[in-house]
Amino acid sequence: MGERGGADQAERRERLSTALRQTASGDASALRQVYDMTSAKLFGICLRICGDTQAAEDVLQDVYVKVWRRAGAFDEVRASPISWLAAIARNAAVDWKRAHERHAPPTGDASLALIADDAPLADRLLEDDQFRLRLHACLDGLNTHEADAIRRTFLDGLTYQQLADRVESPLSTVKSWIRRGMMKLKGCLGDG
Amino acid sequence: MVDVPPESPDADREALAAELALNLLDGTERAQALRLCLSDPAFAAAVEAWSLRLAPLLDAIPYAEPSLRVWNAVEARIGVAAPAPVTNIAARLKAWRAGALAASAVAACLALVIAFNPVQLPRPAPPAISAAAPVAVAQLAGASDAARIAVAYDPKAGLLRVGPQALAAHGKSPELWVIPEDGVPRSLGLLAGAGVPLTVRPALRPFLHDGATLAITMEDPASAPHPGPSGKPVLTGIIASI
Repeated sequence: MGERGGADQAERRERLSTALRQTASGDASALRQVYDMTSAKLFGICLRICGDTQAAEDVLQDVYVKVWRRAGAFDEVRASPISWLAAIARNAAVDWKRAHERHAPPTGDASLALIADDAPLADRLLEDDQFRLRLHACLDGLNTHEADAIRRTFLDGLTYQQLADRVESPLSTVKSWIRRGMMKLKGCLGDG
Repeated sequence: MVDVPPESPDADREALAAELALNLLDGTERAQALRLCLSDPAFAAAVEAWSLRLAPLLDAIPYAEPSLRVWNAVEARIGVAAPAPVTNIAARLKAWRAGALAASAVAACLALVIAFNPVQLPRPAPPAISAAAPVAVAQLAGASDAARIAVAYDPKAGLLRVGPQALAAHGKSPELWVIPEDGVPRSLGLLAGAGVPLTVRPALRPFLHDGATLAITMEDPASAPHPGPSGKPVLTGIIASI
């Protein structure tokens, strides 16, 4: 992304941080602004993990109600606003998935395909290129099993057991992929 | 985790934090990890760090437009949530409210992390909970982070178990409040000594649900329980069920 894109990114992030701060003070129009800026991204996350439009919309609704109640907890020193929101959406969607998968068969393989790093994307102006590039560079430093295991569990919200079933490997093997991979990742990111 | 060598407790902890952040665990392992969040702020901070560290991976997911009903529902819910009788304490609580990445159980863990400073933090032991009982948990923290209290609620027995606490006294005693969505604090009673569970009156039990706020104020023990708090809370936290 060029210099112009970088400036736009910084400006959009600042606008989002500001909207979150205003949301924390009880300003509903600020929440609407947060929603307008982020709902397509967060809905994409919910949809991917829940695998069902209706459920993903219900989860998304909960996500913004949570943001309304807890925007005061956002701390821009610790997280970029979009990472914070994306983490809320992922946690909420994975919770839904955990609560419902006992009663439902796993979704079809189509939804489980790994997303390539260079997949075409919608508006990325909110996202932090610098962090993403660093994370991907570090993931590239892992062996394929480790990196794929981390991507799949994070993006699809799989448990160890589900991952082991998917890749037809022993549970202890996938556990060690993830653990070794995560420790390498932490060392590589150097944020201790 | 049984398959990690006992000589590497730090690596074990860190791996567990990563596993919890990725929601890899289930069953007993998950419940144990969540309890560790309550007893160990450093662990809770590690979980949040992992969650945020990996968040850029989510950038790979294509965007999708939700239908209009989502915002309409959000608007209706936050409209309802805005309490008619906004008490002073409810207004103040906005600033006091402990952080949270989400209302999920993992988020209960993440909620504990506020301006994390391991040097100042006491490490309360987790309240004793029988493994089988469904529990709701909250960790109460103050703005200064000088004190933290872990609270576990057993809805079956209606018992609140409160971790060790040493709140400044000056003739006052810590009174625990639940503040549901209407923003009106209800007294759950005075905190007794560590290990003495607090029985919640049946009428108040429905308020102890996910997302409700718990708060502690310092009150005159002679006249407790009080109809309302006399001052601002010294500690607050949010309930999440495991």
